[in-house]
Amino acid sequence: MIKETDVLIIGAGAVGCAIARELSVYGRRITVLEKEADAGFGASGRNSGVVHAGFNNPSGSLKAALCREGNRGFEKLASDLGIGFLRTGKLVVGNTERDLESLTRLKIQGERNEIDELEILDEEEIRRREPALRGKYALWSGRTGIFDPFEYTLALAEDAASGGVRFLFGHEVKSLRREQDGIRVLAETSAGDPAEFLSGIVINAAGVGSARIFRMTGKDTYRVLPCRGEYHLLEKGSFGSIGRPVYPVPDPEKGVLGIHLTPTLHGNLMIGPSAEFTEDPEDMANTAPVMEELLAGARYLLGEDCSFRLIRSFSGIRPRIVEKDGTPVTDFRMEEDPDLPGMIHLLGIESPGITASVPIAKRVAGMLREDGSQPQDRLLTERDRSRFPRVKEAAGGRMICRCETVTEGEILQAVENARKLGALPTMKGIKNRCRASMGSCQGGFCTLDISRLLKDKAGIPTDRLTYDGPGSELFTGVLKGGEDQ
Amino acid sequence: MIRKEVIIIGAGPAGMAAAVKLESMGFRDLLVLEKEEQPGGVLRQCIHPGFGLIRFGRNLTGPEYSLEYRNRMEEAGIPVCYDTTVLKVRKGEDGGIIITAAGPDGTKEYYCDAAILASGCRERSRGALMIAGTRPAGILTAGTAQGMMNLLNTKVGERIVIIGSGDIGLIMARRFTLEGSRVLCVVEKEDVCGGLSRNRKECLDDFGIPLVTGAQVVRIYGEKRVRSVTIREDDGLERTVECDTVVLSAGLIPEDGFVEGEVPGLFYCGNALYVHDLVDEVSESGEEAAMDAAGFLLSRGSGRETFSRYASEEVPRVRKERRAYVERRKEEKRLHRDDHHFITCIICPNSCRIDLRDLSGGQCPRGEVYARNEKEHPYRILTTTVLTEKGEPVSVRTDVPIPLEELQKGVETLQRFRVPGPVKTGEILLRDFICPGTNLVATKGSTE
Repeated sequence: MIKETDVLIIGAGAVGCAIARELSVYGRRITVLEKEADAGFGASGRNSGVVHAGFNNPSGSLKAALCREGNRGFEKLASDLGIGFLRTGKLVVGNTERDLESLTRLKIQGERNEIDELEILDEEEIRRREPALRGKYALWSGRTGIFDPFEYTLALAEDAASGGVRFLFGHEVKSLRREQDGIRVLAETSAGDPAEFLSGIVINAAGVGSARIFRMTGKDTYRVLPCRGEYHLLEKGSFGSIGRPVYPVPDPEKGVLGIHLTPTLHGNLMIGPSAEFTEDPEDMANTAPVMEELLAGARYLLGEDCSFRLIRSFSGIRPRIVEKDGTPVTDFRMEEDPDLPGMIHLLGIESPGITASVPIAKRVAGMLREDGSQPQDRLLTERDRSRFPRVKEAAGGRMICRCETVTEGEILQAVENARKLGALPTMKGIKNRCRASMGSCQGGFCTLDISRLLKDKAGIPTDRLTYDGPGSELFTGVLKGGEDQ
Repeated sequence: MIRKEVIIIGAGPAGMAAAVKLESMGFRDLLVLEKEEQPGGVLRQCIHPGFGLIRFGRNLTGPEYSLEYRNRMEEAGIPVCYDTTVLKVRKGEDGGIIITAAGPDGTKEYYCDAAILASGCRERSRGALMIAGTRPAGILTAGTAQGMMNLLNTKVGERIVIIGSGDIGLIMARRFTLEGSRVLCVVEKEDVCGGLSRNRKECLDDFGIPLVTGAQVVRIYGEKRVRSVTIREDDGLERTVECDTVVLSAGLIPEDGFVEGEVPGLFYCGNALYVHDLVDEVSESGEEAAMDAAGFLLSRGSGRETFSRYASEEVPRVRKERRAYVERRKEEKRLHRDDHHFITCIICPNSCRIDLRDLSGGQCPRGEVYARNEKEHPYRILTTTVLTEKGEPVSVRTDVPIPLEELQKGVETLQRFRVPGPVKTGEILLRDFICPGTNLVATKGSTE
């Protein structure tokens, strides 16, 4: 059976969810297809969690403009969504005269991009702001902040769902075809079943998969050049004084910001990301040389003699896109397919893509309106959010996760919120919603208690519990009496 | 604010021993805070034998050992707050100790004159080991695997590689094998086994599970579930082993992250101080810490300084000493590494080394008998779990050792066995089990 919808969004990352939320005020039928089991499992959940100011992007670029817009609106957005955000400021640190020149150039670029609160600091002032830091010169950006990318992406998704958007998880798009009355999209569910959709508008917000979706239109204009970034996550209280993101002077050759230190809202410190081109856009491994390189990168900023208490290493893939001849797509591209009316592709949405996600969504909404006007924010601000209570509000019952002090109530609320969104409740989804098992024991203590709670109170049998969707079953069966249970 | 003279954090083998000792010394204003809904700590899931040889002169399983102290604690009428997780321990302004804990009625503050920290230890996670590769399902610590199997009746994997040869990893290697999973190898980065030689023998050698020393798992593969690991040996040679599960037993870390700095009047014991080899030692340190806490309370205001190696301010020094001891012991193990003619007698804690060729070296005749049996027909106590009719797993043991070669058969026999009705601790569930005269006994009752 073909399911009809007005707008079909491919990808439930920050950008896909922001678009769904933005469009939800129009009362159209909006469907989001996501191949993973939950929202934010791709690059949206695998990044530094920084709200960028916008001084790193070339003047006149969409990146610069939308990043600035996103940054300026983030307090309001965070308050509307009920999520955490801290305008911490950030330091870009250098040691040589050449670094100072680069920092000055960055500052000039930033000023041209109309970013305020930029300042060059000397060694003494750096020490005053971040005593643990080594460095002679720094660019200070007062507009930069930090947020929780899991919380953010899920809040956008929940907001969209509250506005009537339908999310279908475990749906991987396989093909697209122009038809008389719209675009026909064929997807495959994680169970291997086909699912067909017909939609007037299809928006490709598939992140690292966006080039693959683009090629389904029969053209080979773009291909993806997966650029992996690895991270280390440090135990809470490591280098306790680091209160804001600290970056080295960026290397213009690599086109990335370099291995930096980012505090999280929860008190951890992250080191990363690296930048390596990989063959496989799904290969999110950590590699031994890069794991060492990250530590070296952190030592460059913190001094040679420091040691690190790692609790986890992870990686993500930047959705970097190149044209057929290999020319990198350096700016965001948002374009309607000339041969496929109604098909909108979002390509090259890498850093500062999350900062810019709501402005991107507003532009897309503008593209869909004949007069180009953007929707009214008031409707989103006033949205009834009671359907998805914040998990913190459900705190109660036994303490399950000691490291992050997460109670039974919060875990059960996380499961309920996942189900209401249409997502499969998974360990990773629960972790992203309430932080259970995200702390220094990494589930050593609480995996058992969470499993028992999910079995007893959420109807999830232990042998069906997965880490992040079908195929990632945490356990392989029941031990005794398996046949007759 | 709840006021008590002494608060004991944790009702495991250290905390219970400390509480019982304090009560026996005349301290009545006590309170034990326990995060679980019942006492015992990690012993609740340690269903294997080997506990209590020193304290009780008997070879007990974890639940049985725990019950000994639970009974003593209950007879003494010591109050315990269950489901109560300590979040913070700090120095009060006037010399006392303030403990913040989350319990069934929310978060509360407790105030006491002295406290015993008996919060046990945690396992080192994969993140701390810097192992490259992906992060699929199927990577878990040995303790988690043990709990999932013994308390939640869950099979954690089919083809298993164990990283680290700590005691829990060795114990789990045997348990996995008896329950029908295949343990491919135990990979140890040092050149000697990390666990006790008794465990090496009874958990690996008995079942022909290879211990690869001087080797490391350098990469984990698999997207959704573990698919394989790469093992690198000291000579640089790498090989890939296909498996679906990686179990970590690569170190235990005292669980004291909620203590804020030095806290006068706080006494560390058990594995919260440093990780002990035997539970008997853990309980002993609980008692000693209790005595030192008593000394601290009685001499307060007298101007006399008391010294205790369990005191908060001594912890860094004591841990350092322990590390040096562990290193020395590793050296000793190295000396005997290739010594296949000797076995260590485990009948009593003297641990005599007996020459298998002429059965000499024991301090008493029992050593000779033990060595002959080990050489000719080894016997082992069987421990496993069985289900009640309602599907609850309860732990069981044979009351006497049975021939080693019968263990597997014993576990298989019990695969579909259901115990009718509620089970009491110590109840005989099956008579003439495997061998005539051998009984299958419940080591822990059902909750009904």
